[in-house]
Amino acid sequence: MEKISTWIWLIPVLPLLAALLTAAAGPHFLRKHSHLPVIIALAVSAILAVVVLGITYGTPEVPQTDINGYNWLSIDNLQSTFKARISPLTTLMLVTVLLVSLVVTIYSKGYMAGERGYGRFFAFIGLFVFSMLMLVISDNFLMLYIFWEAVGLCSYLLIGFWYQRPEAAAAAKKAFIVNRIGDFGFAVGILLIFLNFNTVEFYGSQGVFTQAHCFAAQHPVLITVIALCLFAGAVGKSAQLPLYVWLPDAMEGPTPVSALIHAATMVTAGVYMVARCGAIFSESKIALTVVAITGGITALFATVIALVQTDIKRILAYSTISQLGYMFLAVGVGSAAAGIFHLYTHAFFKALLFLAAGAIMHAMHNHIDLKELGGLKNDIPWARWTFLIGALALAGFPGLAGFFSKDEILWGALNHPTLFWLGWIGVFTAALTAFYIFRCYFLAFHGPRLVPKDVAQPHETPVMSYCLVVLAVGSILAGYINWGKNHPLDSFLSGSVSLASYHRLDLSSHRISHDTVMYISIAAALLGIAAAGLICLPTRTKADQIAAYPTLRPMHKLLLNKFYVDEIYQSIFVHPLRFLGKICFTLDNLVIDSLIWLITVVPRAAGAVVGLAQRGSLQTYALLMILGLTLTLILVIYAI
Amino acid sequence: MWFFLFSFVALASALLMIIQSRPLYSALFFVLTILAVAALILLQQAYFLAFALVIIYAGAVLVVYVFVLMLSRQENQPAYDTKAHTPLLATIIGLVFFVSVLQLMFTSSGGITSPEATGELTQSLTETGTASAIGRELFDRHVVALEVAGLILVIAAVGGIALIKNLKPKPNE
Amino acid sequence: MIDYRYYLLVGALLFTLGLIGFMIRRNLIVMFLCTELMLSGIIVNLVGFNRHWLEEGKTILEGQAFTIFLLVIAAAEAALALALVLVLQKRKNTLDASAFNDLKG
Repeated sequence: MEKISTWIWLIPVLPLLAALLTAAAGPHFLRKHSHLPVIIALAVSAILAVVVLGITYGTPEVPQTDINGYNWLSIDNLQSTFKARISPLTTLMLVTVLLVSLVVTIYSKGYMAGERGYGRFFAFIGLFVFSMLMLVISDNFLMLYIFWEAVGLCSYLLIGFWYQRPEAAAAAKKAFIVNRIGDFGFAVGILLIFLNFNTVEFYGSQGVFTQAHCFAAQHPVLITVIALCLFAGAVGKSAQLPLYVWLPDAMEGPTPVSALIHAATMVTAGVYMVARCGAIFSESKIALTVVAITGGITALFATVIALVQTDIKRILAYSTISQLGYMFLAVGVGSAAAGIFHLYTHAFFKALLFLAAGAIMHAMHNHIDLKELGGLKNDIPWARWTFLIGALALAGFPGLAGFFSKDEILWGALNHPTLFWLGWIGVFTAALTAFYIFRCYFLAFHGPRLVPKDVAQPHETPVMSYCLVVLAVGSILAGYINWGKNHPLDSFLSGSVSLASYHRLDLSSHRISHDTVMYISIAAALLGIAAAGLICLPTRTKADQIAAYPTLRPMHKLLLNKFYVDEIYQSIFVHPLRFLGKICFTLDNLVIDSLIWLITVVPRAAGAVVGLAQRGSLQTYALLMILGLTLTLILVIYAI
Repeated sequence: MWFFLFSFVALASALLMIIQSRPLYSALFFVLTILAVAALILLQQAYFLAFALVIIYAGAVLVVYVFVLMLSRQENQPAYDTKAHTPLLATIIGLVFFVSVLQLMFTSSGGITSPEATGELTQSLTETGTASAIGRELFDRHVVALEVAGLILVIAAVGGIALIKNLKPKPNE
Repeated sequence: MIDYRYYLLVGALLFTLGLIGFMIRRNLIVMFLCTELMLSGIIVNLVGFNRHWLEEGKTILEGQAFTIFLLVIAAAEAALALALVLVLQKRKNTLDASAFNDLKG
């Protein structure tokens, strides 16, 4: 274990160095090869992460080590060190993040080829991976917060990659600002922690998590408040109910960005944080209930919106929101391990779906709306088959990754003593999930062939297709790490102190068995797929007819417009703030600039007044000179 | 008695000089002032100085003034000669100046205190006004200043010529 | 003998008259003439002081020496001043002191 300490830092630092190298040397020296430093760094880091995973998996007693780095902040009680926390949770996250990042980066070599700012893209990707990895292995709240913000920054930079497009710039701003709102709650939570615990470290003898239990016994209300504030940050970052509005708009960024950041890694940071702070959350029943309800309601809400959207990337964005809701639901009902498992499998199949959508966009010259394309199964076969595999995984078809993890979540939710109704909502949402994703698949790949006018011959890039295949394999196989009687993943994760605090809750009432839940989820998935097939398959018109049905039409309109949430937010928050901003601006112009003007005008006026004395007249000068002489003489005589 | 006469002449002609409207008359009154001052100096038995004053000052400098006045003749009585520039203010300032100088001279808060006896000096004074006495004074104790004075005169001469050089009308015009 | 302080008085009066004349007159040449008047007032002053020193018993003739230098200065100054006045008169064709106000403001 000691050997790790020497090269554990390579894992996050290598992508950072690669990013700096690409940023410095990309445009001039590397040019077309700007992808090389980052890809090589990610590959090496991925290998190292797998090695670390092997080491932590291989040791029988679970090692939790803190590898000390550099103490960069030391003000009284506020200590912050670059410490790396090696626990099962962190190593699983490291491997997930690095594998998916590696595949997505190789994919973007093909996708972003020829774009302006090719080097910039890879530099940002490297920076993002660095921030995400540091977030995962950080050992105190201050570092966590710093890298939390850093991933938000990288998200802003990457969403607004094509910054000349006003929609992209607006989407980037929206993402950052909405994130910031959540981060404000997060910061308040951290401040409360520091005030009450006098430290920001996670573990250690005085660590927050170590003290959390005693603290909760004395201040039950305060621990709930802290937990809710921390959850606010997760709501912002992971796009849950009030603060989800940035994620659909974030699809303005390049598709690899959507795959990496808004499906697999960054948005899962919220789930990871809630799992990590298990010691705090598990002390407060109210906080857990809030987490679960938020997750469940968000899952349903987003799924319902996704039913009628026509932009494939937007469908996938709402799908991400909904799946994140599932993860929060899992954590809230006490099966945090199931939530993390779902995070891991979701990373694979959601990234796969996004990259397949990217392949469609690439073939269709950036057209991604289902109204404009259809029946492409013969044109882009690689994308079609991999999209199908991803869709099956998302729907929870038995045998693929999503099935195993969703199964665990539903079991945990349905068995909860009080929140089992969320479990039934989860089942209903699973059915709807299957429906919308297969609606998307059938409309895009089956049915009559519909191709936008400016596309001559759709084609596929080999490198993109290979990445899709890799992720498809991952989507199929990823679930099997928990296969078997002794559930290797669960036992692996139970070694994590954070998840153990959830496990200790043992809320499950064990009424419904695993097998029953399995049958229920299989039934839900098949129902959804069948419904989608019936409605969307032979032609597209049947779906339109149902939508145009008189009683359903207002509902269809409501869903199509995403429940008008953006417009509501615009009128409640944005307009008043903008008005306030205009007032401040006017005040600044009138008052503050006037003060400055006053300061400038006084010397000038004084100068103008004194300038009047310069008449140029010789005699006046003589007069004044002699006057001065006389006055001086008087002064000399009478004063001295 | 002579003192009062000559000082009266000097002051009267000075006053007349500054209120003359014709500049030539001012110059001539100034010559009269200089002659009265020379007489005052003579009363102190500073003969050389008095004659030097008359010859150099009245004889050379003022003659130059008169020449220049002739050269720059304007047509009859231009306005700037008849109208004074703030006479009241100037007079007040002048009076204030004079009073303060008087204060300096004649009161104990000034510098000059009570008069000494003025009697027994006649014999020492007769030797002090001659050319040789002044010459000895100058060359013994103020040699450098004397040389520099000569230099100044040369510079003034050269400068005057340099300034006037382009004033002559060109022959072809 | 006359008290030396009367000389000082006469000198002060001459100087003051020259001062007033300098401020009053607008003709350039007459202004310089009043300057010369001031100088002659100084000469009277110096001669008076010379007398005072002699009365005190010190046989030094610094007052007279200084007067000689003053004469030199007056001559040099008169020459240059008049040359300048002529040049100015060529430029503006007038001897009015208030005509030369180009540096106004």
